[in-house]
Amino acid sequence: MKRSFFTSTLFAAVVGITITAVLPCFVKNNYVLGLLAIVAINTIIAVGLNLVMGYAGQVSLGHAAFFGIGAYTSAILTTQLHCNPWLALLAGVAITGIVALTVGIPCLRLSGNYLAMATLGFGWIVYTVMVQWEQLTKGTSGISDIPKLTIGSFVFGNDISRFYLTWAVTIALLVLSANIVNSRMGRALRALHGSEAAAATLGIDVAWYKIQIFVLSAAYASIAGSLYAHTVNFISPSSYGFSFSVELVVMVVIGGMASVWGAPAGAATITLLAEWLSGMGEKISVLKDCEVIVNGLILILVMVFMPAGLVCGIRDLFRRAARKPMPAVAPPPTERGVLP
Amino acid sequence: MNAIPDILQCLFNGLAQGSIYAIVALGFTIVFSSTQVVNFAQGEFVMLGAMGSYWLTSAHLPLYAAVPAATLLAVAVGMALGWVLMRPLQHASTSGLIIITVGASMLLQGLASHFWGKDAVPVNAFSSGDPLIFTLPHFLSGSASPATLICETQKLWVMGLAAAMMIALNFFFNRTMVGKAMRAVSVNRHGARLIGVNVSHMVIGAFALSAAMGAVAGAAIAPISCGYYNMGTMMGLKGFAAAIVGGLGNFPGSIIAGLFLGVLETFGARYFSSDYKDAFAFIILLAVLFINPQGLSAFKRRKANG
Amino acid sequence: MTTTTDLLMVQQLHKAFDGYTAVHDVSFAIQPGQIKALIGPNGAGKTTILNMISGVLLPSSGEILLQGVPISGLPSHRIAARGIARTFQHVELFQNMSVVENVMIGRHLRSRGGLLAAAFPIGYVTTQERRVFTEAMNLLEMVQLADFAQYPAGELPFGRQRLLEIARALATEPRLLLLDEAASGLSSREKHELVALIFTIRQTGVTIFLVDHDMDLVMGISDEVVVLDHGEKIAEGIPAVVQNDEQVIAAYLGEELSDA
Repeated sequence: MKRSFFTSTLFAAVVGITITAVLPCFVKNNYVLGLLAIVAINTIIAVGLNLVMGYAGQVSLGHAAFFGIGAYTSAILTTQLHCNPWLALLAGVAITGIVALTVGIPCLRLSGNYLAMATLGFGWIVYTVMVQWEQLTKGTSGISDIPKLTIGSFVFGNDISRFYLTWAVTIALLVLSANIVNSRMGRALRALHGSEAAAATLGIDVAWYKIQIFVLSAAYASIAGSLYAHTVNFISPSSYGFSFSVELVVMVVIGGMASVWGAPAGAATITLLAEWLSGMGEKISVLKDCEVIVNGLILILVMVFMPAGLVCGIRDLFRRAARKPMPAVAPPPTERGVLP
Repeated sequence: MNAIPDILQCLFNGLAQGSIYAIVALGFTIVFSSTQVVNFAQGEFVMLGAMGSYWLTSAHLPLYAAVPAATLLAVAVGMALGWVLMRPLQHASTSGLIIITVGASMLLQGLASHFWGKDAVPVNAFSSGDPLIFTLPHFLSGSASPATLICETQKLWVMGLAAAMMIALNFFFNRTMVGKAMRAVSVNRHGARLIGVNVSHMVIGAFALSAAMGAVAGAAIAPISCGYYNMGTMMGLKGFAAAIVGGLGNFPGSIIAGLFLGVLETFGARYFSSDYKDAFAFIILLAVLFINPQGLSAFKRRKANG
Repeated sequence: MTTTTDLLMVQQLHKAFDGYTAVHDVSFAIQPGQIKALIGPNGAGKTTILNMISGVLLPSSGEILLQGVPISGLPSHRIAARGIARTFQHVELFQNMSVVENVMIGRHLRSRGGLLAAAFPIGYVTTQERRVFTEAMNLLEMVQLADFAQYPAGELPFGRQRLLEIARALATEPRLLLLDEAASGLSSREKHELVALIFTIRQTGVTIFLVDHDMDLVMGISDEVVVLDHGEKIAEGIPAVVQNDEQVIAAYLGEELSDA
């Protein structure tokens, strides 16, 4: 059983790498390649958030803040201190991890409501700091001329190279996440999602696992933020507010909350939908600014009718239809007479 | 320099702001008690009261009709939300319910920004007239100048309305059958059903009640702080912080905590930094979660539960 | 710290909720290798005691000692690590996982590897996964559920779910197994199977402490019985003595003496 699953992760990775490698041969449009790079970046955050929501069963309404901390750390360190972008990325991960620990430790011991509200508030704080601390962050004007990423002498300067870079990182993190889910740790996470009380009586330190996953997801978001900063070379607070945090939740809800490979589907759907809607909004005035409305509706409708998430719900329907019926219960044994 | 007049002014302003937080906190508490759901769209009722009043007054409705009408709009939205949650309440996880109410919050914000734009809008004060200015007696003000306490009338309206709502709530929950039925549901849902209480109606009623309160609060505070399409998020967050500090489900705690939060925020803005004043609520929230998540409830009765 | 031959000692255990006392100064001991039962009319406080022993609830006062070492106040997962496993009155299986995966989680304490091992599964990790799977299948064989291994746990018939929960608890290799109303809701044939299973488990050296209100079953298999009524211990001893105790009979008057 285990061996076949491993093949499945490997298989998915191979498929992903193949598609990524080959795609720019068919798609030459730089705008589309740039957009797909953004989809990759959003996928990274979505996969992390998916682990938190689908396995630890918690809702985070502030992941845009972790994304922002990664982006701003990279931006500030590379523009003002001329730090190596890769080191800046690691610094971002470290800072984000510490912040996630600070927010997570008190909240993850308690019911999900607390973490949700705490992340909501924390997201607002980070946004406020981004806007107000102008000395550091240049406030609403944002930070521009962020250097591009380089490996040796190769500069990731054009849309194709950035497409490859972002998707390479994304696929690596997807494989990592799939490994986690299929491991002893992943089992423990699924257990605590099923029943925290039972999981605890089997020796699983529920709070500690939740914290680990939360910090890991924050680290993912930070990596995504750093990649974003070096890909679009300009950042401003508006990308890191509450509505983006909710958009990330929508991606996970669409992609399915217990499916690592559903995350790219969710990220792609919502990113492309938002892009399409804003394009339409410019032409048809009634559709202006309606991404938020659509996101809200999606959340309500999917959670009311398909609480496992859209992709997962559909997948489960197929699985149930395809599965053989359970064998009949064994016939009664012969008399045992153990009772006096 | 005698700082007393300054302090008194902060206290007055803080209590006015805190009254709003107390009302929002009560709204959270009412819904949470009956349903165990934290309604993330709670702040949007405040927004609807504010923006609704603006919309109706700019459609030339007089204020005394616009505010009740805006309140009715919020109540309708609240009841719709309660109705949508009926089925998920049976089987959805905490995170599922959170996502639904967050979705409702986004939907309402999106609709608000779509119909009413993203700019702040003015809302008329409830009564025109100059603020009441009290000259402080000498023993309080000392040599400070100006030795006055400025009480804007709208802030007096806010505090008065908040107090009136709390008194009405107290009467409702303790003296009316409907109110007692709602309390029964919050204590023991199955038991309440067994004695004939229609739990679904009570749940929708809880939403309607918290929506009404939020809307009135919104219409009252908007003349002071303006209405804008995403004021709900901040209001909800601070109201929730107050509800947690007071202890989720603890009515008097919510009120005290709300007032306290408003005062703290005002003092913080005045003496520390006004740019980061929104941070205070969050810092208090985190502090309470670190120390004792039960908040003020812990003082109310000893909890020996594990 | 007292040296003692008792496996588990409960000393003046007390639990009060907001003015209602669920368990009032209860003391008893469990010897290694015993099958001991806790019985009493509904609402006597039996599950509360199990919850306190397994760390789900915090005692208001009193001590719980596992081989002389105090464990009251420890969180559930630490108590599990010390060798106490349990089943639940309302079966708490991981509905979202398959039958075999439920048992595999039971092996959590007997395997290792955290985040790094999970992300980069090389070396011991893959062999460990295979071992855990095999061990889980062996346990399923023991409870005759091996054929159902890949099906979602939630789809099993109720009686089988109880057996699965026991298999899962056994996977932790406990010294003490707490069974909370394991027979309730079972048909009489299923109860026979359960009894056989309990004896088999005892033969492997596991001590069993069971809570139930099926008197026939309890009296038939237990070495000793503790009787609880309204949170207080009213009798303790071998089944024959307890069955004839006046207080016990009085406590059960008005209750059916056995339920099917």
